[in-house]
Amino acid sequence: MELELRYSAEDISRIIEQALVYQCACPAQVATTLLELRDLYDYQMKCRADDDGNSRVHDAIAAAAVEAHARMESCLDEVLDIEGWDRKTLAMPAGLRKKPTKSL
Amino acid sequence: MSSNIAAVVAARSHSVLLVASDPHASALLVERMAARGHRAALVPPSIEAMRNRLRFERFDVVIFDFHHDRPDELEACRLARSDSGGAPIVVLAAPGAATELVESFRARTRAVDEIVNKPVAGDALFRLVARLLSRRELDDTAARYAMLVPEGGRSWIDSGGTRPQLSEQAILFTDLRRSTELAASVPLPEWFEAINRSLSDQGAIVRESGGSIVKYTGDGLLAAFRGRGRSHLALRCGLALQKLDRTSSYRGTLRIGVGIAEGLVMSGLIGELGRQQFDIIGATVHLAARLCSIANEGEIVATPKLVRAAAVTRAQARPTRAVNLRGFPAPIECVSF
Repeated sequence: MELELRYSAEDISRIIEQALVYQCACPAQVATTLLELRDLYDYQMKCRADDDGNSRVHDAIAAAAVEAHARMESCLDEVLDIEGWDRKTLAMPAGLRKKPTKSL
Repeated sequence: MSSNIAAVVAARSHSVLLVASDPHASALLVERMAARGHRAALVPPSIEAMRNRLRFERFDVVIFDFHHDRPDELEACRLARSDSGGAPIVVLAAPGAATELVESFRARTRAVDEIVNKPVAGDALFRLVARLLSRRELDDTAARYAMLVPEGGRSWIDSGGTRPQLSEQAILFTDLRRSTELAASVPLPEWFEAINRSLSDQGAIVRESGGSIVKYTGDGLLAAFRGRGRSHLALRCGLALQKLDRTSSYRGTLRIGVGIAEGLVMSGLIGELGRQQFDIIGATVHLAARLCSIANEGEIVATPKLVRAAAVTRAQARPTRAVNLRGFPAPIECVSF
C-alpha cells in the first residue's frame, strides 16, 4: 500500500502559491487537500510502525488515504486541463488571475 | 479599554504595504483592501524598492506574499521589521515546505509576526489584520500610559508591589529658582518647553546616577536612590546636576537648587482608591524638600550624615552650618556644595 505521487511537493506548492486571496483558488483547494491526504497517510504509517496493536485501523485509514489521494490527483489533472494551465510550468492562465470569488 | 480600541481600529482606515512579486495577483488584493477603505500599496520584494517606499511612508501592516522557490525574498521581511516602525508583518505561504521555510526564517530572525496559509479562506486575512492592529493599538496605548507613570512607580509595579514598603533611601529634590518670576515674564509655551528641557536633562542624570524619579513636582523633581551606596549615588547625582546647571545652554535662565537627605521612607500608592499615584513619604522626604528650598541657584544642600556616608572626596563642601527649617523643632545641620 504505497502512496503514488504524480505531483511533487514543489508542484503542489507552485499551484497553491498562485492562488493568493481573491483569485481562482479552486485548483489550490484541491492541491491543499492532496497535502492533507499525504499528511494523513504519513501519520498512519508512523502509527503503524509504532505498533500500538491497532494496525488494522491504520491500514484501513491509509488505504482510504491512498484511494482518495489518487482520486484527487486525477481531479487536479482534470481541473488544470479544463482551466488551461501550462502543465510544464504549472502557471495559472492569465484569464484566471483576475477572477474574484463571490464569497469575498 | 481593549474593546473600545478594537472598535476604533475596526472603523479606521489603515495603510497596508503588500510585498509581492506577482503584480496581477497582488493587484486584486490591493483592490479589495481599497474596497474596505484601506490604503494599500504594492511593492516588489526587493530591498531597494522597499527601502525607498518605507523611507517616505508609514504603514500599519505589512503583508508579504511568499513563493517557496524564491526564499531569498524573505529578507524583505527583515528590512520591513527594521524600517516599518513596528508594523506587524504577515507572510502568506503555501502549506508544507513553503510554510516550513517561513517558520524557520521567523525563528531565526523574529521578522515575521504571523504566517497565513494560502489560499486564504473568506475574510480571514482581514480579521487577522484587524486583530494585529488592535493588539498594536493596545500596546501603543499601554506604552503611552506607562509614560505617565514615573520610574519609581514602574519599578514598584514590576516588583509586584501591592503594600506600602519601608526602606532606607536617599532622597533628592530639585527645584527651579526664580520660577514664579520667570513664569510671569516668559510666554507660557516657551516656559513649558524650557521646563521640559530642563527636567529632561535632569531626568537623564538621575537615571545615569542609578536613581529613579518618583515624580515631577512642577518645576523640579523628586528622585530616590536605594540600596548600598545610595548616599554616594545621590550626592554624585547632585554634583552632576550642579555641573549641568553651570554648563547648560539655558544657563542664567533656568538655575536649580538641590536638597538631599537620607533615612527611612515609606513607598507605595497614595490617594483615592482607583486614582492613586505612587509616592514616598516620611520625615526624610520633608527634610530633603526643605533643604532644597534653602538651596541657592546652583547649590546643593545635604545633611552631614549623607555627606559622610557618601564619601565623595572630590567635592568641595562649605563648612557645616545649622539652619532653622519650617516644621522641624530644632536647627538642622547641613552642608552645602
